[in-house]
Amino acid sequence: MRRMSDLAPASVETESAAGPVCRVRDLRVAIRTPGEAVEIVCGVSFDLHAGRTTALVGESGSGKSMTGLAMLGLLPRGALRAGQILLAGRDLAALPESDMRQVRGDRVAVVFQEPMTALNPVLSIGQQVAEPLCIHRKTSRRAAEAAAIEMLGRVGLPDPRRVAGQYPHQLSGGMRQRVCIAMALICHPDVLIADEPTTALDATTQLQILDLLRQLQTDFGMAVLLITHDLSLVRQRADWIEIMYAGRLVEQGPAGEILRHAAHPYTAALLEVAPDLARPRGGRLPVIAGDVPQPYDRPPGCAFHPRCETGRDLPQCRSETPEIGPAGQGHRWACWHPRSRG
Amino acid sequence: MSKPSQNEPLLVVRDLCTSFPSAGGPIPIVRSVSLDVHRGKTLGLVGESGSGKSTLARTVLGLIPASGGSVRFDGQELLGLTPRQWRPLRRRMQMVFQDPAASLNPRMTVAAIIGEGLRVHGLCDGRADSEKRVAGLLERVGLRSSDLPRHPHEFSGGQKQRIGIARALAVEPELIVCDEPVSALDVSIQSQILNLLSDLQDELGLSYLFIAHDLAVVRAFCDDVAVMQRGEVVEQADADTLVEHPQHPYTQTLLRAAGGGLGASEQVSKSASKQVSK
Repeated sequence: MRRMSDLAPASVETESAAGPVCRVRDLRVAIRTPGEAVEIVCGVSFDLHAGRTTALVGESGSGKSMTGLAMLGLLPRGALRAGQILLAGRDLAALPESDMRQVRGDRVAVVFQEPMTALNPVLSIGQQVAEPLCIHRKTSRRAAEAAAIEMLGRVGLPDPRRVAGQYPHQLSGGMRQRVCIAMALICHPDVLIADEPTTALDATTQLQILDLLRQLQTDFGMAVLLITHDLSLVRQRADWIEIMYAGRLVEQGPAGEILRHAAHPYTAALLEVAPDLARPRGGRLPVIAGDVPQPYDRPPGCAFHPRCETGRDLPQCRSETPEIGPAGQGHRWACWHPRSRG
Repeated sequence: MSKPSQNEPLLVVRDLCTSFPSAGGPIPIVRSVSLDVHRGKTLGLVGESGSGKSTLARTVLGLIPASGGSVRFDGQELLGLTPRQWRPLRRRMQMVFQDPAASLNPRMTVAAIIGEGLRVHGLCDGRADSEKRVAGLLERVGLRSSDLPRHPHEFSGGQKQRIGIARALAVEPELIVCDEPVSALDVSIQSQILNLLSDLQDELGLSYLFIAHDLAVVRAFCDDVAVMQRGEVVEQADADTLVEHPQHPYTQTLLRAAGGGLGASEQVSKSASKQVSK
């Protein structure tokens, strides 16, 4: 495998010297249920750097999308949020909704999984891509639409002027996702949150979209948070990886380090189950037995222990919850018995 | 009609065409496709969205009318059958869908969802017999008989897909058409479902027509693979040969995508091709 550093943009060192553009600290999300509040995200801390992609990886139910929505202030009604989201000296978590509206779509933008539902079917592509400029920058409609056409070109759409006049149903899934990316980037955000941006797309289109995001991240010098369930997808496409399980981060570090020397048994299992073209037919596929536990039904100790080859029967794993420690300090993991790292 | 020989593949598709009507005349979606699904084996059908894979599968199952060609199932020609003639065949050919959430009725219990086929085809002897068999099916797909009275929303994506598989199995089919059965699931759950399908095939001698867009999944799971592009099968081979010696440029593109290679993107394809091919 090639090393991440071979692919990383040259600017990473200088950028990171300036410190992270966004720091998430002890982020917690809970939802009210008839009984009591149930914590979905249980104290998550990480940094995002300009010009870098951070992948947030976990299975359905791990809390990764809730983390993204919490950063955007888009949690479902009734959800409770605690912790800090520090962006350019401001704590987004402390902002009233009226101020958050000015940040969302301008400094922090988002690309969702399903490009069809994310677009308005009755507005032209050009109008939709231009809209954030009209709202956040009070740009005139004419200037905004010109900027939109330019941005549609930058996300790789052929004949952007024509696309601007079209409607979502006239485009393929990959083209729609490019439109969503253009819309997210039109105000040149500091942080782009991409929540499973390629899951709804074909394999060939997936890679084109991921490579496009990587290119734009370098061009615009923005921080990208790439949320995905597929660890193999982020191979060569992330600089930093955060692994999330049952509401907590269980491993974090530079992508190359994690992919080569996964310390947490869960990370190793995710790598093991990734589809592998080199694996011939015959024999059983490797699996992670069981499901992510429901938030109201999380086991004591390390939440992964019932599915863990190592910790299933170890008393410490069954009773004490391991902590991952402070963010931004290199390769870390929350495990009592990490894999030996050769 | 001649008696089918055991050597004839279970499903034989020849020059099958399907077109959809439009104001400007019919638009061909499936163009003269020929393929075989052998008994107890899996044929993978890969291609991008819009290549006609699902339309082909639905035409084979008689859900969409064909505009030409032939589909033989166990020696019997399917094109031109009346709905009444189709009915006994429906039991022998089942389908597992891509989106397990959308393909299960949210208002029905698991017992009713899986038991419906048994009742419709008269395969059970009253309610008690139905419940007993449904409980057995649930356990067979890795769920518990205590799940019988629950509703689909109470299950995870992987568990819903297990329910969809149990529903297909209930009527003891010979052929199951799996239309992207794992692409809506987490990668960690995909291999659980693929292992289950593979165990069931070994035990019950099932034949699968397996639609997918991910060649890594197809290679691990299928005996033979047909690659579809714009309604046509452009390459067909056994899975190992197809992956190791792809002939058609489109197969090569799909392989690069499945390998995670950067080559799939036009922007970097030239600079990356050397590194990828090493």
